[in-house]
Amino acid sequence: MSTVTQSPVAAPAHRNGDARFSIFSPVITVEHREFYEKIVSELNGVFPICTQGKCTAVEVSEDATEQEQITDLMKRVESFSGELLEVTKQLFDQFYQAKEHFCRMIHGTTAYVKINLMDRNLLERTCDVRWWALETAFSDCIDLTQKVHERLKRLVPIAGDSAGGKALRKCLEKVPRWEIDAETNSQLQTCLTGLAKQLPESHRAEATTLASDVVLVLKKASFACDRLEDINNSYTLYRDIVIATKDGTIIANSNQQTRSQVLGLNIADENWFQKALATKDGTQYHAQDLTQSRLETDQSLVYSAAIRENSDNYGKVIGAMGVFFDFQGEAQMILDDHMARDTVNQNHVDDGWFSFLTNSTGTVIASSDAGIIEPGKMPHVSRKHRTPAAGELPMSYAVFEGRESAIFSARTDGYLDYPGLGWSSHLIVPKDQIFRTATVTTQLGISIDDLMQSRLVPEINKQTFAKVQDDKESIQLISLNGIVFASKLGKRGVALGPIFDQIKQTGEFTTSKMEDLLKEMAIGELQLNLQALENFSKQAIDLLDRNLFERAADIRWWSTDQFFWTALREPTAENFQKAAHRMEVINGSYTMYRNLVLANRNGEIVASAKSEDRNKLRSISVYDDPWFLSAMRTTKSSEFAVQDVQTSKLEPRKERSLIYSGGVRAGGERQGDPIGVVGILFDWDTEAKKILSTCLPKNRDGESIAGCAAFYTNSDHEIIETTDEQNFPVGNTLALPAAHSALKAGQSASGLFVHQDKRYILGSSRTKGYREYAGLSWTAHVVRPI
Amino acid sequence: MQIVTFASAGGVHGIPVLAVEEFFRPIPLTRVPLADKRIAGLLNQRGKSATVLDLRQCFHRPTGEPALHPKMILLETEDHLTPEARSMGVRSFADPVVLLVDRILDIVNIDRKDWQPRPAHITEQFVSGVVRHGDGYICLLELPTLIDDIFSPKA
Repeated sequence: MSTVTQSPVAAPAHRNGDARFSIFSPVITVEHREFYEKIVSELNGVFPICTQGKCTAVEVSEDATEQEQITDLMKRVESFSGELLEVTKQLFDQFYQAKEHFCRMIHGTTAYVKINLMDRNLLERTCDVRWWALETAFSDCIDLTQKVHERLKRLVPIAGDSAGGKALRKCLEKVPRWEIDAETNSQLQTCLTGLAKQLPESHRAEATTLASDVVLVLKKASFACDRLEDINNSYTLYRDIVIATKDGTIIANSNQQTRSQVLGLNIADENWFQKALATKDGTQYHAQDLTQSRLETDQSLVYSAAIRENSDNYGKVIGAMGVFFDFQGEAQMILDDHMARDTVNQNHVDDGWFSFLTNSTGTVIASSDAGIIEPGKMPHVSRKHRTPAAGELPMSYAVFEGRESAIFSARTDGYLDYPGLGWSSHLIVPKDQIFRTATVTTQLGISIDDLMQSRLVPEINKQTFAKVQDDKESIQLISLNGIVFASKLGKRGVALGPIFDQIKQTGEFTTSKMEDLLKEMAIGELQLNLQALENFSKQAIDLLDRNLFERAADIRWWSTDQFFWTALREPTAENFQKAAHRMEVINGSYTMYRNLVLANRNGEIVASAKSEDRNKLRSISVYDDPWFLSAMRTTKSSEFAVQDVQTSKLEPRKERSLIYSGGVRAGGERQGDPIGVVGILFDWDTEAKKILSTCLPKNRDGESIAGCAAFYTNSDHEIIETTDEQNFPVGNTLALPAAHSALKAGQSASGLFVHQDKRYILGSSRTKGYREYAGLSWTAHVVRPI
Repeated sequence: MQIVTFASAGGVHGIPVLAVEEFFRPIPLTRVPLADKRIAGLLNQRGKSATVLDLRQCFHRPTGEPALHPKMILLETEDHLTPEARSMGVRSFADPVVLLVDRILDIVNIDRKDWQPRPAHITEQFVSGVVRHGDGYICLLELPTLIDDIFSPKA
């Protein structure tokens, strides 16, 4: 288990802006300490030389003016040396503060991005459960089950203690229960048929109909399971989806593997179920923080909603739906991302890097390394990290696992109208990673002098650079004047010569060293900027991939909708009207779509969500459109089609449409040839712009930086969406540097980029897809002018 | 002989150290109207009024850009030259003159015998010779020739 002690040496320097690094701080690299010591000893060496110079002055000259001239020169040298010592210290302060600041920005943002990705995902999940709970298949199933139940209950006293009555009671109590088990069900059926013959005339008919109804219950339950499977096949990030009756018995689930254990379980005492029953109407849901459920061995993150009579938003509550999110899988994906990798084995996270999530009480709920940061326990980090206040991004230094580390935390601030569950994300990075010396491994592509003048280098460093150069000149002028002076003294001045030579050398040595340090700072600044841009581009493509994954899930689910296949199979005006109404309802909740359309197998649009466009669309044939053709070619309901953004006759006024399409199959079958196609028109420009605008770099004060832009390109390097219509307009094909245009899935790159004679630094990341969604080979780019 | 080297007009030039009184950063100048373009103006250094020559303007084909932070060299007047300087043949001018140059480079020791005569492609009369130093050549400037040409041009 880990042991952590708050580091006594390195106080958190970020508390106030003027906090200073001490040269004795352990984060200062050996090279820098050596360097600092050299400068200090060189400069300190100047003072005795000056004293010697003053003494020599008395020796070589008896003229008071001459003596004064020499003494004056020496005093000036002393004062400049003192100044240079001060500048050296300042320089180190700036150097380490800049690095610390950048790392706070990069790693702090990473910690935040992790919790934000989780929140965005969980928000989508809240939409899901409310929708699904309203499917008629589920309310029908529960309704029938309950009614049959009550009728059976009434029948029991009538059957009495007769042999048939006993058999009936036995059947009803048998486990596995008759509602879910075929064998028990058929026994019950036989029992009822037998009972019908023994019962008085008045109850005979009831027993007979019940015998057929119990079979119907089983059929409905199995249909409910089918529907749940359909949903789960579209939305693959759930481990299970279950339907429970009002008394808490599970009668249907989506996971075939666990079905035999899950069906029949009673979960009436589980919180998610009780909270679902307590919801006021169909717009409400319950998000259950991780808890133990009888359904799973892992901790479960459950979303639940009530199932209402007739699937009506305001109907009576007759049961509940619970969806079991694959939290552990999702968390692992998020936690493993953005971590330094072992150079040999890319699957291994580098030593000393940890990432984990804690819940609102500060307990670990997921960890990148469960062996060291154990889920279910308190992490060994300081209190302010365990449960930070909302929106806070604490950072501190501590010894973690015997290693000086920096800890970054971020608490959820929710996403849109989703408040979050009070979780926090934490990132632990070895401290030497933050303060390591910038090494130039690749050609920078920019001269160091250009870089020093660029906008990347903060004003304060430029001022220090100017000051150092100024001091360098001053020392040079002083020593040159001294040499001129000495040479004029002829033989008498010989003793002074070496003194001025020494001063000249010291001045040159220290100032050139300091210039080197400033240049190293500039390179470091450039590299950190490049890394930040790379991270932003990765964020931009990740957010998009996750968004488009949801779209891919939506289309697969909607393609199986009963209203759509009914309308295509029985093409009546009324059925089309119903399908159109269904689309309108969906579009009302899923506002990220501009329209939904239903096309029959001839490529005629027979229904759409937007009533105002309906007449116009009716005259259009989409038979040759790629989205229609490729969806017609799908053979399974788990398949869908999507193309690169392009113009579409469905939206003549829009330049670019992004259409997802899926085949509709008769009876909602999972396999077979489609009888038509559902197309959903994603509001691409709005949604993409929204994402891009959150991925623009900010300066140290959190303000946006002028001239920065973010954009997506397709596989032809054509810009498909942008935040900067002026310099990087949509439709423009870019000549990207080779490293950026040759990126493979999931890779990132950064470097210099010249566009329209302006110089930028550019970070790019190519899509790696998300779960089974492979992405469209797009790349996200973020540029910053220099 | 010690010479001080400096950069100006894209070349490296040198004058004897003994001909120099002081190096300093530019101080405010008084422009002289209607003067030769080689005269940058007048200045007052330690109570002495001196004429500032812009060395860049003295060359026929200067290259590069003038430095952002130029330097000034106050020359010793003829009467202040040390006996040693006189014996070595260092010559100067009667009135205080300041040279405006791009950068002061170094003080180097050169041997009289290494001097070479002015190459034919250098047409400036005030370059008295060149001397090899490091990777390049230093043009040695003959101050009286340079100054005379400005103050009392021949026809």
